[in-house]
Amino acid sequence: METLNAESTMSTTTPTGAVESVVIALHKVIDLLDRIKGAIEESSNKIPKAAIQLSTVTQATEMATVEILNVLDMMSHKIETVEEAVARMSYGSVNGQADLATSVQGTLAEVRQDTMNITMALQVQDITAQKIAAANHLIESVRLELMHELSYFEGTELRDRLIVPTVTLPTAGAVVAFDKNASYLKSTETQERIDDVVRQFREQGRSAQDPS
Amino acid sequence: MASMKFLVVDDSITIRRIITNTLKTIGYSEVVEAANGKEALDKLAAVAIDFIITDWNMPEMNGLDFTKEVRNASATAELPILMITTRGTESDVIEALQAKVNSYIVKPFTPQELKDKIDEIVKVTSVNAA
Repeated sequence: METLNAESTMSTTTPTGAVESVVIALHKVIDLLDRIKGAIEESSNKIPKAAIQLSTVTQATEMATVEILNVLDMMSHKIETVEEAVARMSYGSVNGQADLATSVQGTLAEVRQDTMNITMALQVQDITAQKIAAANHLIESVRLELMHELSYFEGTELRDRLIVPTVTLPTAGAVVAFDKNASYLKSTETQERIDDVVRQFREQGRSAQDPS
Repeated sequence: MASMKFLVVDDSITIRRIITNTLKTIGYSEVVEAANGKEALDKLAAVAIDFIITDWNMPEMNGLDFTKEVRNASATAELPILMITTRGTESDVIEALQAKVNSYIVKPFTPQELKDKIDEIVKVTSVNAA
């Protein structure tokens, strides 16, 4: 790649040659500024997208956390109910102990379901991981673009001043697959819509096999 | 059908664990796990599997390419495949169906959705096999 090097562009011996060199240097500067403008414009587009990805991570984790806290509140209440029932049973002061035991069993079954609901809410981890990977991808592409533009200053003092010490990311070298549209917001309609698509696809397949 | 052996393919350890726990809750205790399509093909070659649950976005080999590999191999071509993914557009679903997945769930899923889809696939594949 051609680089901006003051020494090479200004080494002339005649006045005409000096003017030509200045013109050439100016062209290079204009070209460089255009490229920097392009890089900044591209970065300006990508950084907000990364910011949006990260803000959706906050929303998703908050939703999942609230879901888990709600389930834990319900579980806490159910455990109190079971404790009271067990205490009454242990004092032997209960008429209809069999009914109470059935009620306790029912409550414990609900608690089991609650633990399952907490497990399901933890799917948020996979969704936020994909969002963060998408944001990382955008930030990395901006960094690469800027590094590419900096290479124009190869061998100049300016480049040495601009280059910051390299930081090794924990994900460096790792191949990360992600869906930038991953969302924790899933309504029953989403799955119903997908089931409809599956149904239509199968029906089309069947009618293609049996045109009559 | 409770003795079915499942292969769960997902690059997220959390999701693999959630699916495995859910399968155990609904009565399926035999589960083999893989972190991507390539690893899953190795597992398929080594262990007899009855049912595959796979993610789409994975490194090394994604779920779509994995599905195509499974369908192209005579030994595994008829295995039931359920895709569980975050990708929820109509074109995504159609692409997966064209690769011949049996059914499709969008994350986040519920245990009931997983159970219903497994039951549905098992029912259809049993009828077809009969």
